[in-house]
Amino acid sequence: MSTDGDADHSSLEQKLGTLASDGSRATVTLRLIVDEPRDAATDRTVLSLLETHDEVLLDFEACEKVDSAWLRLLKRLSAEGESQGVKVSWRAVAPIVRQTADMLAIAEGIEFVDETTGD
Amino acid sequence: MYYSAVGRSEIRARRLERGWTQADLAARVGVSQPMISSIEQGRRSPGPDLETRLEAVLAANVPGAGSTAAKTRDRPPLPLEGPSPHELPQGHPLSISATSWVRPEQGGDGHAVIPLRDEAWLIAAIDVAGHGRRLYPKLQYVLGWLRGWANAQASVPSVHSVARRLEEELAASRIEAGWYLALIQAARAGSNEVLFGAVSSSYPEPLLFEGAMARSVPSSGRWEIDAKGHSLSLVGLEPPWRLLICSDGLLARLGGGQESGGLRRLRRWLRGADRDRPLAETLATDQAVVDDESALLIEPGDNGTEISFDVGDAAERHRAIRWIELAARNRIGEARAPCIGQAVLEALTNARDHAYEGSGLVTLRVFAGTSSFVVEVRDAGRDRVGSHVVSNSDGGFRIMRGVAASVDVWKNHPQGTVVTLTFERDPDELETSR
Repeated sequence: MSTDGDADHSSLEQKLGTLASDGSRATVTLRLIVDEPRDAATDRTVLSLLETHDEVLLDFEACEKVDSAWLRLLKRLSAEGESQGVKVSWRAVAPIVRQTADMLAIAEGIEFVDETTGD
Repeated sequence: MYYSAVGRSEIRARRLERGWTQADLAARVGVSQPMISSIEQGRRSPGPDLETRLEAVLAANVPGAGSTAAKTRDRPPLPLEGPSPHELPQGHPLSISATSWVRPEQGGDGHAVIPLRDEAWLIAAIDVAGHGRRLYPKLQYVLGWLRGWANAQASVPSVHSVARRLEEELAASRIEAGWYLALIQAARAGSNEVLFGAVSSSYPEPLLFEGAMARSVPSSGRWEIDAKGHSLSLVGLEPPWRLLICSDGLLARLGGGQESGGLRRLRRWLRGADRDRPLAETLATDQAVVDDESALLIEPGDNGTEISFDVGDAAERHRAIRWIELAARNRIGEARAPCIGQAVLEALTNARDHAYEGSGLVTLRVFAGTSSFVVEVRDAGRDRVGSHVVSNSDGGFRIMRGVAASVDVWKNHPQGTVVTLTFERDPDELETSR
């Protein structure tokens, strides 16, 4: 049976990337290009990851581009995670994504990691 | 599991759809090529982590997955994600420009302009039988196959041999489609005169116009019918010349239900005083759209190349970005191409979200001058954002301004908004990147 949670999950995967939950850690593997339209429901779904996990890993390995609106949302995820004591890290970020974050002046405070830090 | 017993062949099919080698896919998911080979052959299973990465990489928007994709086995990879058909080679004395137009909700009508060696181009228009979005994967398959086949030829094939091979492929793939194939080749090395040969199964006669053509080849424009019912034409053309290929649905709409009326209307445009009017504008009518539609205008010279597409379609949007990046790599250099792609991505998402409410026609045009590389993003929507947002934006326009030498936004234009991004060219940078 479909639930609102299923719908949110499906929307998240369609717009941002696949979500794998391993106990307290959520891993979001971002799509090749993240540029789908966002709305308030999408933002809530992304930010709700902080409510159910102690750690969120954004895996950019397969991601070539993220538009500025999504980058701002992911930055907000990092910032709110920090204030709530949830570790949010960005893994394998492509140079152009990093440069875009720099141009938007949002790179400061983001935890960039090249490899996953463990299980 | 996502890639179970059935999924193994799915991995291979989806990889081939993107024109990727096993090594390409391996690099994208961070494993070795032998690992991918083992998985595709069913000798190993991907763990959950790798499975997730495969899913992320292979589930990206490439239409055509499904039954037709399975038929790619034992065939050359289909470069659906490869260079755009509209990207023309550098350094040719003869150059052509291509203006492509399709209905915003593209169905089974479309075209490819495929650069070949020896100053030659293969032009293809395909009209898959029926209409509607469900035909789009079949169209992509046919165009992808044509590109793959043409690129694999050691020499310029005759237009007849392309036609024969295409017919075989359509039969093998069980795809019913009308087609138009033309070969444009420099008549002599370094000259602007071209030889033009075309074969068509069912397309209306293309609309050729220019007096110089009639003077150089008295029989030009005369079409014959071969034993299989195909129209044939071989003519010599001197510039300026124009070739316009339209699908029957488009002609019928322009003619108020009569294809002949549509032909007359377009001929008047090609020969008239308003011949420089944009193609997309010329094709606009109040008539209801009842069929898939496409048009392709080919002209000599590097007058800029443009494509039109539905900005709400992620696959088309991403394909356009790759096309821009490829053009930027060739004309500016490797280093700045991703930044330029990012700037165009921002312009496109702006058009989608602000000019339209999710879906609408956008035209991308590229000009490459001696000192600049210009990308124009034109929408026909109603701008819902004031000028102050453009000047003060912390979002997409900030990126555009950070990357481009200049960003010009022409608002309140009758056809919507035009964003022009100008990038400076540095010959040394281009040379270094090669």
